[in-house]
Amino acid sequence: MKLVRVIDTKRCIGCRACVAACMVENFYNPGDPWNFVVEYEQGEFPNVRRVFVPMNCMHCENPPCQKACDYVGAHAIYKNEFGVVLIDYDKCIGCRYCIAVCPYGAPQYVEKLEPLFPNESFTPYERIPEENRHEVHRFRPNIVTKCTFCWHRIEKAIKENKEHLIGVHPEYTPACDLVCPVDARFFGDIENPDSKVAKIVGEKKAAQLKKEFGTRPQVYYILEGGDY
Amino acid sequence: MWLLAFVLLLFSIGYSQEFKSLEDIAKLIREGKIKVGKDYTMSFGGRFHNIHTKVIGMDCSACHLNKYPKDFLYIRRYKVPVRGAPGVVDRSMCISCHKGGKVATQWYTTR
Repeated sequence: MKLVRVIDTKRCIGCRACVAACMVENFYNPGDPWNFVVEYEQGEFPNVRRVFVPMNCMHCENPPCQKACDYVGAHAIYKNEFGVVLIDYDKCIGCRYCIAVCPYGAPQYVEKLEPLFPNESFTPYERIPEENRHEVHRFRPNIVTKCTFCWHRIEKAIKENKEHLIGVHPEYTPACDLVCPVDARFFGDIENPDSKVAKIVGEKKAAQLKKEFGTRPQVYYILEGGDY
Repeated sequence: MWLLAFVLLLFSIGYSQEFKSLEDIAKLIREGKIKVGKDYTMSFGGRFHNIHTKVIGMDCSACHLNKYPKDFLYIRRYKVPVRGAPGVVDRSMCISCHKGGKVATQWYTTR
């Protein structure tokens, strides 16, 4: 099984529902987003358009962050059998080499834990004890965090022998992909020929970003003008 | 005149002995023959900046730009420059040495 995401930039309206859903689901440290929408304009007046590109960790097949992490000897970053790149916070030393090598800017360094509402105390959700959180949500200062493809949901599907429902059933699908109001996001197993993502990628309608790095991202984009 | 030629000859011999290719420098760093420290951090004074600025002699402006282009697809683009850094960094600068293991440690591949 190789999990991939497809994002249709031709449909995306830049509403940031995916960003909000990611925050609510993962409660990452404010200011260190796992999901971010890059927005820019194309063309010249009167022929202009606005482009929205939601970005998260690309879960690369050749992750440079993992190579850098191994190089410094931390071995905190690993890629599991489902193609998800994860960080073991217990091993992370906060050196930020992964940030230096990632061409997509996905890893986020947590300098210190901030409350959701500035100048206020931590909310009850933020005060949930570490032992009651999933391991991907056990944040602390001086570590690097990033999108996990909502690994806690995927892991649940695996434990319940419902792998075939990943990307299909809401309980086993990443939060950002569920909430898109314009159906611009798809998630699933690219090795299953019946999956939506396999069909889109198989028809060569989607491209990977920054191919020149050879990272082979597992997030594909449907772009204006097709592949480049 | 002969004296000047002799001095130039000595200088050129000395220079050729000092000059090392990037491949040689990378090898010497890996072998620990060029000391760059063991502080694996992105902060100035750490190993990363020691290699790129002190050993290779890259100027800050070689990597740090004033700002990203509008259509630069990079998640942390809003977060920089960080901690007094002279500007943002486009990772495409790194490819020339860090791709395919030609010169420096291989982060990127040729697919």
